Amino acid sequence: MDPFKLIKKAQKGNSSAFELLIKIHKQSMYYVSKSILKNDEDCADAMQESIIKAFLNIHKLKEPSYFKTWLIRIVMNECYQLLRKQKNVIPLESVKEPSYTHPISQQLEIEEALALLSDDHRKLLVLFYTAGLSIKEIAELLDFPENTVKSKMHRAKKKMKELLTEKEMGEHSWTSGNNF
Amino acid sequence: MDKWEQFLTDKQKDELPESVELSIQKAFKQLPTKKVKAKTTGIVAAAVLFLSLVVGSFFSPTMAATLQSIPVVGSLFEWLHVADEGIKTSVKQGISEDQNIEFQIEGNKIIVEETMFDGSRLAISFIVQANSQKEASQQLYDLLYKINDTRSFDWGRWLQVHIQKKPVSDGYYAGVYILKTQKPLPEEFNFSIKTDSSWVHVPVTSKGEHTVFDIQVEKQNEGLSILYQNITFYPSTTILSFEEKQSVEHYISLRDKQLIYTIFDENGNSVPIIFVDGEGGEYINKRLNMRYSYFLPTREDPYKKLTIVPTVISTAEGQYGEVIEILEDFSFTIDLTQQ
Repeated sequence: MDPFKLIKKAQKGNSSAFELLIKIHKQSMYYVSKSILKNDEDCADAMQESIIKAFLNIHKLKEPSYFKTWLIRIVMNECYQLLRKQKNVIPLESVKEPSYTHPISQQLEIEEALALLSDDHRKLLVLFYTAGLSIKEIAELLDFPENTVKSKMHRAKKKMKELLTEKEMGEHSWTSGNNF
Repeated sequence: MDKWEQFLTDKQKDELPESVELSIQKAFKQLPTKKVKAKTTGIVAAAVLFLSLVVGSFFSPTMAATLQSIPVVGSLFEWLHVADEGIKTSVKQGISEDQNIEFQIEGNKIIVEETMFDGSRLAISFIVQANSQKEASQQLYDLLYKINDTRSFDWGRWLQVHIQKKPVSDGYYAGVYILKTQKPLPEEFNFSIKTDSSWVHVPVTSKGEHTVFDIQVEKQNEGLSILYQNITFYPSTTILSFEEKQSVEHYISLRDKQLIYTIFDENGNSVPIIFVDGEGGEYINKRLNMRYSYFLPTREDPYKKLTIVPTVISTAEGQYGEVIEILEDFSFTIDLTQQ
């Protein structure tokens, strides 16, 4: 079904149409929340609250084409609210399990490099690649001029490449050291 | 496109973790139903009201009969094998409250039998209509509640649900719901549960005294210091609080390892730890600061001595939990007969 029709139906209170919209965007919602919160349980809580808030407020959305950015903004707000509540409280696991383990696959290597990025850079990359938002949509979402998003994105990509190269170099020197 | 760019893009197709999928389903269940303009006439409305009164009066005796067939004598808390020793100890002090509130959630009958709140934990004994122990447990985990009209989420929660394996009667399971909130609960509050028809309010009052014994003993070396601060006795829970400070070098030396605290009683038996609260992470005076509270069940036969033994265990794959080192110099015994 046409997403615009679904949004219109959801705005009239049709929960089935709304649920379908959430199912379409749930991956984006999750990965955006994960870029802020890291812990899956917290992401689950933030998403649950966001879905309810979105349903209660969807009638206020004037332009259906902005649905995705509007929904992601709700998720981000919910995540930051949760972070504020958790301020100064560090779960035991996060303190006790520093990520010192060597990458065992390329996937882990990328995950580790992502974790080493600044919050802003990581969020930008997730919004662009995983959530599939355009530069224009990200600019609207984060309230930045498009050019600022472009330059930040450029720096984020550069940093990511640097981190992955560093990791590759580290791996190589470790291997040669072992061979000696 | 670089490999990492492809990796991020492909995540869009990944399956979500089960807990996230579950939270989406929960959110869908909580969505308010579509508002439909009421066109019911007064006569139809009266008929509906009459029918619900008839149905209501028909169900109550059936429910009463079901309850009578449940072989529970005295407190359900004491009868349940699944309630921890601390809950049983507190109930023996007479601080639980009878509730006997029944309602339905998704068509299943649920009875709140008793509550116990001593300031450290809230325990609720339930009887739940379900097809299996697992289903009963899920129903309680999914319970939507508010505390004094503030949603559960705002209080922060640590929840344990224990359901007795064997049904108490055909299709009915008994269990205990134990809640500890991050934000302290007030002395009196309403624990409100969302049912099929409305919110049901369970009134809860804090009962029982608690006492705090100051310890303030510090054990330290170059890289680590542990300040044993105090021990608090609640009717159901004994809370041991201490502060841990470590240098960056020490923190790094714990790579693939973890510093845990095991606790033994006067007979050298390991004391079960109900849960651990940890907060901090501040870097002050070149030390990483953490504060911990270890929650132990209060025993009917009070602890005479408690010995805390800091222990380094492995977190490496395949060796998780293996003891690497017992930090004897940091262990500490609290003689509670002297308090």
